[in-house]
Amino acid sequence: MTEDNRELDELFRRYRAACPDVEPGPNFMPGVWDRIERNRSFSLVFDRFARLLVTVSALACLVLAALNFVPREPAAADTARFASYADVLTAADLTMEHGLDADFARPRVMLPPTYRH
Amino acid sequence: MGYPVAKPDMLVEQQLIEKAKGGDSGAFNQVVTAYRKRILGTIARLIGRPEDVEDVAQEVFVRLYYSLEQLRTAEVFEPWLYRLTINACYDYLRRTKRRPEFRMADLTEEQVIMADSAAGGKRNAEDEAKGRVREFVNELFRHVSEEDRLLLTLKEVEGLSLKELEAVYKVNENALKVRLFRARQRVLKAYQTAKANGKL
Repeated sequence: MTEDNRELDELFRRYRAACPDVEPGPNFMPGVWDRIERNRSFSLVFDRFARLLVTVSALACLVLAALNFVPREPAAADTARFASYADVLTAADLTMEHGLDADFARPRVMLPPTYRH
Repeated sequence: MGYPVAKPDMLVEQQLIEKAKGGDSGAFNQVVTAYRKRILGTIARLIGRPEDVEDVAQEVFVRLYYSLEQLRTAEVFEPWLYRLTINACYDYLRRTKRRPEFRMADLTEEQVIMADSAAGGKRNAEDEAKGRVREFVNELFRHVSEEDRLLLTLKEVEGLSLKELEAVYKVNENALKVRLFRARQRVLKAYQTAKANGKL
């Protein structure tokens, strides 16, 4: 170990001796308990809020799951929207055969107002 | 030289820690009472601001209260407490973003009056020498990062062994050795420069 290293060790020892001891004040322990109580009341509120949120979420899940099982009548618009290409062709054939209005099966193109006649 | 060096010996029975862990408020009070002076001293040396030491120490014991449940065994209580102390000091230093220094502007009115009376004649040569040592070492510590300063303080000033530091930091002993060596080399270089410039 070099001389400088030894001097540095000695300096650190002197530094420790030079740092004053800190005595706890009379309000140290009450202060600690006060903080603990404050944190506890905050965590209680947070805990209640979290429980409420979980309950509400569970209820919402149940309601949505129940709604999934309710049978629904498919609306006419839905049939047109989700019809396959083959369905559209069949519908077009039917109109030609029976002289129905073909417009109902034709895809609708939305044009900007300037292109409308 | 017979300067006191802190040895982290257990200050309380392990049974008492187990009781505190189980929610016994009286036991927790006893643990705090036993350790508060040591923790206050460590914090004072780590943050270097006497007016905030008690506040940080209270924060350490509040964190201890809420984390005692997670303590595996009472044997690892002291590294655990040191870890909480270091983390609280880091948080404080990050919040204030200041290096440790003792400034008149940060003292309370009462402390200023005491300092004035000391300056008026009561302050002896020994106090002045101690003040110079503190300022000089704090100046040397400016050559290393905040993390390295804390590590170096724990090793060189608080007297923690490598094994204890390993338990506190939960890192490999070799990694700690390398880091400590580099930090110490920087401080040593700064010391040699100061010595060469006649600042000692």
